[in-house]
Formats: sequence, C-alpha cells, structure tokens
Amino acid sequence: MKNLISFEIRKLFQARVLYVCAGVLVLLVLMFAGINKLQEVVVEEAMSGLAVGDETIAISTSDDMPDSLAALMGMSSRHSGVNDMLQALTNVYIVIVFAAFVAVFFCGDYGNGTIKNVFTKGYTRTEVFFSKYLVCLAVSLCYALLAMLTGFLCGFLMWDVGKEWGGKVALLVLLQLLTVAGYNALFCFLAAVFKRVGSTLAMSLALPIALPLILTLIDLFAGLGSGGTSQYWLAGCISLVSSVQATAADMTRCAICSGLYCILFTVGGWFFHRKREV
Amino acid sequence: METVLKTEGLTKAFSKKTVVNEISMTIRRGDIYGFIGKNGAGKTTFMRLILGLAIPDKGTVSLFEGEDRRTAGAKIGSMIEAPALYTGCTALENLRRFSIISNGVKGAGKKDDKELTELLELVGLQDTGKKAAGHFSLGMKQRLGLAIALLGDPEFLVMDEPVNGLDPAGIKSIRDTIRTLNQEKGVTFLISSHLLDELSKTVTRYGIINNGVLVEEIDKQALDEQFRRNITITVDNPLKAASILQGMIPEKDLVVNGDVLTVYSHQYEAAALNRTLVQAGLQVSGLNTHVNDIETFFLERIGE
Repeated sequence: MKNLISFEIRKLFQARVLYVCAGVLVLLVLMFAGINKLQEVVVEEAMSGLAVGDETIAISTSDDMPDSLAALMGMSSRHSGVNDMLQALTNVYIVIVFAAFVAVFFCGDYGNGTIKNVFTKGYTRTEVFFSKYLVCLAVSLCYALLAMLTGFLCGFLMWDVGKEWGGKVALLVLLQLLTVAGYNALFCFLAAVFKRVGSTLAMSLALPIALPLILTLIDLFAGLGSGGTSQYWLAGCISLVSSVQATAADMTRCAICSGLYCILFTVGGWFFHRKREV
Repeated sequence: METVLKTEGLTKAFSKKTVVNEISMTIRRGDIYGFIGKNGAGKTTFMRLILGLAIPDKGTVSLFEGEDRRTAGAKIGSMIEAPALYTGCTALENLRRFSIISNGVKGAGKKDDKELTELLELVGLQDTGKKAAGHFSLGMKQRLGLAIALLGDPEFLVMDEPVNGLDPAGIKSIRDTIRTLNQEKGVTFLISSHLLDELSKTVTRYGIINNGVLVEEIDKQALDEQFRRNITITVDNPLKAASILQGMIPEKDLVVNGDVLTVYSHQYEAAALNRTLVQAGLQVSGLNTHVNDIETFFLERIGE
C-alpha cells in the first residue's frame, strides 16, 4: 500500500484540481470577509446619528457591542481573527470545494481507465480505496486549515485578533477538522457508489445544500426549532463549534456525530468499493 | 512444464446473458497463446476475469501455479481494450507514475528516467518529448500502452488487440518485440486479435472462443499439419453419413453443411471413408480434396 500512496501523491501534486480548489477556497473566504466588512460599514453609516427622543445614539461595531445588537444588525457575531477563523468552514460553498476535489481526484482513474493498470498488478480493492481515501483526507484537512488561516488573517487585518485564545479555541479547531473528516468520508462514499466524476460531483454538490434544508424544514414542521435534527448533520455540527461561546454539550454532540459519520461513511465506501468491477 | 495460467470452469454473466461459459484453459510458460473469436465472443471479458478486473460468477483462476494475487500481479503486464493513459501527461511521466506501482519480479520497483527512456525507445516513442499523451495518434497510444505493460519486467503479458491502429511498420515492430521477449526472456503471452494472418506469424498455440465457450485449443504446429487438406463428401443423407463417420473419426474433425460433409485431418483415408458410406447404402455423389486457408478453418469453428 505504501507504493499506492506514493503513486497517489505523485498524481496529486501534478493535478490541476488541487491548486484550482485551493485558489477558489481562498477567494471565497476573502470574498465573504469583504462582504462582511462592507455590510458592517453600510450598517454603521445607516445607523449613525439615530435619534431617540432628544438623544442621539452613536452606533459602533466595536468589541464592546453586545451580541444582541450585532444580531439586530444582521451579523452572526462580532468579527475578529479568531471568530472569522472559527466561522470559515460554516459556509456551504466552502464544503462544495472539498466535494469538487474529492469527486475529481477519487474518480479520475476510473473515468480514464488507468485504474486497470493498478488492479492488474494485484492490488486489492481495499488497498486502492484507502490509499485514495487517505490522500483525499490529507488534502481536505489542509484545505480546512487553509480556509481557517485565511479567515484568521482577514479578521485580523480588517478588525482585530480577538480576545479568546487558548485551549478552547484549539479544541474547537480540532472538532471542526473532525467534521471535515466526516465530510471527506461522505464524499469518498459517494465516489465509491457512483464511480464517475460527473455523477459523484452532482451528488456531492446537491447533498450539502439539499440535506440541511430538508432537515430544517422537518424541524420547522415538527416544531423542534433550533435544537432539532439539523443540529445532528455535519453542517449543524460545524455550526455548533463555530463560536467561542460553544458549550461543552455542543462540543460533545459535534464530536460524537462527526465521529460516527466518519466511521459510517468510511465503512460504507469500503463496502461499495470492494466488489467494484472496472 | 510450469503453467502460468490455469482456469477451471470460469463463468461470467451480464444481465442473464452468459458471456464466458465454463472456460477451462491452461497456458504454459513460454507459450504465445492466440485467442481468436468474433466480436462479442467473450475474449475481452475472459481477459478481464483473469486479470482481476471483473469478478467471476463461478470457476477459478490460478496464476503461476497458485501464487497469491499480489505476488502474481507483480509479474503480469496487460493492455486491455483501449490503452489506459494519463492523457494530460507526457509518455515519460506516464511511465514514471506506473513504475511506482510496478514492483516487478526482481523488486525492480521505480525505475530511473534512463531505464524508462530505454523502454520508450523499445516501442518507438523516444521522440515524443513534451507532447501530452492525449495528443498522440492511436498507434502512439498503443505503443505507450505496451510500454506501460512492460514495466516491472513481467513474465506474463495479456494483450487485447495489441496491433489495433498500427501501420504495417508498427505491426511488424510489435511482432518483433513479442518474439524477442518470448525467445530471449521467456515471456509468456496471451494475445487476442482479429488479424488471423498476423496472429499466425506469432503464436505457438490457439484458443478459439465462440459465444463464451472455448471451442478448441490447438498447437500451431498441429494446426499447420492438420488443416492444410480436407475432404468434402456430397451424400444423399448427410445426417446418416455423419452418424456413421463419427464411429470412425473424432467429432471435431467432421463438419456437416447442408448435404456436404467436410472431414479434416483424414485426407489419406478418403478411400476408406467412401467405402464405408457406400457399404452403408448411401449414395456418394462427390468426393474432393481441398486445401483450406486458416481463415476458413477458424470461421467454421466460430460458426460463420
């Protein structure tokens, strides 16, 4: 299997998709940071000089602004390097970049037929699946760290570093990486099932968008509110740990759900892959 | 003699259609085994089964007298259907990549560029430079596919239509390469092809497949001796004549076509066959000796 992983890594660094997805990821994070800053400036200008009776209220989006006011202004929380780092992966478009990479890289050999040369040499389906899985996982985690770093730099440059540091932030980052591993397992599972780049890409793009919407609708109709089924999907897990205000219960739920999804989709992907004919 | 490949009762069906039907085949070390059959006969599916690309419904495949799949796989090279290449990479880069997973018999492992360039020279692709494989002609892609199959110094090469798309010079080059590898390095080949004349210049043994069934296996030497002459007998009751003659000659040497019986390999027994039929009360209206070419022989075996 060592040879297989070396083979995948050689393909990886010459694959255009690696660099294109990294570029798109960075651009998306920059774009969202820019939009947030612009939004903030517009709101500040709109609300400056607001008068209540004889008093004129000055509005500022400083660190001292309460979360309730930030929410009123349409901001999820005040911005800072740390906060933007933790929220970098909550946007569904970021997840789609991971999906695109896994679909193209994992299924590429099946689409162009080069996988025949691998199986002919006696490598098992299990070895092939896990060599691709591990390389995709490494790239997904690197992409996640890249997005977080870009988010931190944007938050730092546009606002400030942030007040919260230390063990809790590190733990939240690790939990987010665990959720990214869950997403990687999901996309590898879809690749093992659908076998072709086009089909895998279509399902990988649709699922992260459609499923949270469906779960939210279910919660709405069932009257479950924000504590419903959507909190147990991967997108919900990442949202739970995207703020320094995350509670121990939130972090535990994220860890368990992400871990279970990781195991479930990994085993499922291996199962579908082991009887694959080429 | 050591067997390189042995299959027993190998069977594969797709959507209730049996494409490979209980094929039991043996290829000995040093053979150049020519696999012949019409389109859709099951040649490619059989090759995919023995290479592990497809999973058989029934039967067994044994490589190198029962070696485990991974050890045996290191000694096998293949070119199945279209050449499997990275179209965005150069010829040399394609070889660099695949050499990583081609350990080879002697643990050859990843070869350096000098060895890979020599391999490209062997197949006539030394001047492709930075041209991506996607821009190669069909013949060039076939050659690169062959070079990839030769990585790891394989002992057994499985080739599906290896000269497809090649010009006459290219065909001769592939033929010479096959002969050189077989005679100098003892490489065993399993080759499928529609070009019977071309195959006849290379192979040492034939396997004829029709509708998923291995109809006949025959050594080239025996074929050359056997099929050159045959007798056609015209009788009034061909079915009765066939049943009588089946007591004298093997069933595979007798073909009935309308009111004409064709008898192979017994051209020197024409008088005895004629006497037997006449004594049985049959009217023999014609008896002729013929020389068939290889094409007619195979076309009759595959039901054409």
